[in-house]
Amino acid sequence: MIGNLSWSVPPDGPGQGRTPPVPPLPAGPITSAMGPRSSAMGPPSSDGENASPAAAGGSGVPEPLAAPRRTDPPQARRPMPPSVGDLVLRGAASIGVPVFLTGSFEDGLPLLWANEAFEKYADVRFTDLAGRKLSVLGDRLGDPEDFAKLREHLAAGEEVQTMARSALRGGVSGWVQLTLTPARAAHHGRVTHWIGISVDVSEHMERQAAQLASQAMENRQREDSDLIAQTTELLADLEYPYVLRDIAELLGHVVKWAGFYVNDDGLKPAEGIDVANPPSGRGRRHARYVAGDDQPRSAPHRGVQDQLGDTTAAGDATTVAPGRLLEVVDNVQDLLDGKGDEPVTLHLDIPHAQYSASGWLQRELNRRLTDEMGGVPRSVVVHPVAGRKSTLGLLVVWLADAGADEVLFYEGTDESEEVRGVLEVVARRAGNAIDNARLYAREHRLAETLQRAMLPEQADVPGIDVWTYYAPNAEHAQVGGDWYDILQISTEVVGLVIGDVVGHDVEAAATMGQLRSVVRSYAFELFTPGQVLEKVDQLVAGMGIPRSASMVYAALHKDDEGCHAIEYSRAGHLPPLLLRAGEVITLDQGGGALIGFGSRERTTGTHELRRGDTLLFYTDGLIERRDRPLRLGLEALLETAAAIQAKDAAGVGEELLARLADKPEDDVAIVVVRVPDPEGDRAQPTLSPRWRRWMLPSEPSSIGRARHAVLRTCQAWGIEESAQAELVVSELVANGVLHGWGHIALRLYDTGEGLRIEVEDSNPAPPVATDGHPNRLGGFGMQIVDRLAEWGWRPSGTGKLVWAKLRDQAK
Amino acid sequence: MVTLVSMIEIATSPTTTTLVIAGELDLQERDQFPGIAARVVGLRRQLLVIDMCRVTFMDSTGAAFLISLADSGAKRGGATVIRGADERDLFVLEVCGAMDLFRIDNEHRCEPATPATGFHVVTPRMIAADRADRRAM
Repeated sequence: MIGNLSWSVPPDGPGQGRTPPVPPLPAGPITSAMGPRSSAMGPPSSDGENASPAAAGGSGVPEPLAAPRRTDPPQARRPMPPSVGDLVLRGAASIGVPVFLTGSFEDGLPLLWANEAFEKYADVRFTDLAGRKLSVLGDRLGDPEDFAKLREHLAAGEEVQTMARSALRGGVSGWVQLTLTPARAAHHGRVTHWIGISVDVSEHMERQAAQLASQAMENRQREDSDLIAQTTELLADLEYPYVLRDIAELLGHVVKWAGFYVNDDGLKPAEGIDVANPPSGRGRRHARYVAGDDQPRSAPHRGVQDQLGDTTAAGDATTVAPGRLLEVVDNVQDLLDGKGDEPVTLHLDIPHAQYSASGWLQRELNRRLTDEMGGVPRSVVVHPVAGRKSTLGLLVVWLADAGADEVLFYEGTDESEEVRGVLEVVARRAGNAIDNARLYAREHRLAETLQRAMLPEQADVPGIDVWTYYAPNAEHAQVGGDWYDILQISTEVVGLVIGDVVGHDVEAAATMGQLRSVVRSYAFELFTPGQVLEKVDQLVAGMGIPRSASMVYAALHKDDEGCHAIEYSRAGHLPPLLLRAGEVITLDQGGGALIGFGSRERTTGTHELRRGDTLLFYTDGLIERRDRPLRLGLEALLETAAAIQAKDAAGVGEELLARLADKPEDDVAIVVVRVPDPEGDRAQPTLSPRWRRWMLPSEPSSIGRARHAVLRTCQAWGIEESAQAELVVSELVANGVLHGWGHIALRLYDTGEGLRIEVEDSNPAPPVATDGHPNRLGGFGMQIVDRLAEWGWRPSGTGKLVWAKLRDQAK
Repeated sequence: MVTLVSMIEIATSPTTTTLVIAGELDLQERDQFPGIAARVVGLRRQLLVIDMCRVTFMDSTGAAFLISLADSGAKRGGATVIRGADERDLFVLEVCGAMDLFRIDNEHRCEPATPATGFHVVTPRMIAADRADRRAM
């Protein structure tokens, strides 16, 4: 901005130009300063008019530019309007910004002039510095790099700016921005002087420093919250087997090393959350899990141990002072026992009892850190990983700046606030996640086991065709309040139960389970349905069952000639239907109040059955819709039932479901019982749906049932050659029983180009066609399927579905 | 009433053990296989005859049982004859790669206790020739 400039002293005398506004500094000091310096530096320059030390410094060249001196006769050389020069000088002298003038760089920048503000800010008296090199103030420069840069620019004669510490003001040093502008001699362009201007930027610098600090703090906080966010994200997928390892790696941003340990009757390293065998958080058998070498590889401080592994004396190499042989306080165990939720410091350089938590962790860390990090710190910080009720494990960290501490027994840790905060949050979240995963897994197992136990199962009743269907409407449960039961009471009597407990929640399911057992018990003792229900009423009244329930109990009797009859009693339940050659008979006798409310005697209705008759038991979920009254729903059911053409129980059920249970709003249970009619069923196949489904319990007897279902279906569909289908179904269901989990769903489809068989179970592992071995049972099942059908499998829900499409035998 | 449980009877003469099986031979019967096998082996006869006239169904599990009987017989130099097996039973044995362990008695005719299953053997293209060879044996 200033550039090179030249000036002269105004003609009306120096006094006018400088003094008046600022008396002490400008004129006097300059003169007095120049005098001794000039003489010290040597004679005035040859032109005799300029005593500039710069000139005297050895240039020897006459200088047109000079520091203003009282003796100058300037107007002779460089006419300048006196008023301007005067103003400039006055301004320079009195301005609040420190301004000074030095000689050339080659001369060491001797201070030739300075204004009052300079004296004030530099906290020096000009008289003390006049003529001295500016470098006496050099120690005030910010840093060596600035100094180097300054030298470079000065040597090159270029304008330069730098930051310099200003003198102490009130004990606090401030900052100035120093600008040095070269002033060149007009005639040869050499830099003969430097004009310095310094601006106080202390406040700016302070603000900047504060900003930088807060920015660094913000960055740090952002990083921390990033890290916590990433941790949370990682913890969202608890099934990922390395979730804890990855979190520990993430923590590597704030500490040198981190690792998780869980306590499951003894500490062990944890990389993921083991849902199947979650940490109990209890137990202290810490020697159970020993990875690799039990003995520490680098244990310079180990003491002498007795046979039980307890340290009895310090080892030779120990640096621990005698008398401090053993860390008797097992603070890691205390942490696991929940005796404090504050992190503790575990010193790795002092011996701990071998089978204590601290001792185990010490050995483990000695081994692991030597492997992973190539060294072991003197101490680590151990954070508790706490669940809801107990400490499940530990988060062990090697602090980035560890090692400084020499204090052995003291409370607390070396962590900084921020690091500690992050570690605590991460440990807490990990603990919550482990706890949640564990709780969830436990609840899930419990619920699944109970639900499986309560799912209705259909006994295979020889001689009659039975098909059942059950669809709970509860969102997360496999069971609801509806149930059915098919009991082979004797060779001549089959008991049939269908019932509905109000509601479709867990309590309804529990009530259902109790009622089912009660009804079963009496069904095997008493043969008349009305009596069975009376007994059930009596028992239920004393049980305090919380939900009301409706049900039908029916007994199917077969006489010696093979003719059937049904006896039934209803407790507030919809009447069963009897389908006979396109006619629907409502079995509405034997009515009574809901279970538990049967104060009056229960009655029993009867009806004879013929070959080809179909009995239909159902719960209200089949017909109940919010948008129509139950009566209309029943009419719709009667209408639908009358139109059913299927000649197998499964077909009747599928026709019903296809037309009625489109959007069930409640649990649905259906039992279809058909008295086979060997002659009539051989007539022309009907137009019933070309699909069937069965739910089979996972037990060997289901294999035979599945085959019989296939045979009946093939018969109903008019498929004569069912032998291959029978074999394929048998193999697939046998596989499901042997290797699958949970119930087995069997589905058949008539694709028009051959039978398609689907078998679904809850095991996601795919089926394998092994080579088998003659001496081992099994192994050839899928090979048989392979020879007879195209087959494949796909994941389905939590399990898998194996399908097989029989090759069209007609072709 | 149709019985679902298969019946397995053991008859013996000085040279021959005869195993008469009736019903369905599948996984459901697996529990009784080892006991029967132990008894058959314990009899130490040179010839084992397996009568399958009354077998209504046999899958790979049932076949594996017959194979284990024939295999332990063959180890002592004995022979195993199967009679009354239908097409499907033979197909299952063949898929299990066990046809060379058995001699098939096609001449046996007992009262047909079970209806023919109407089973058609499916011959895959790839190994049809191989199978034809085996049949010829």
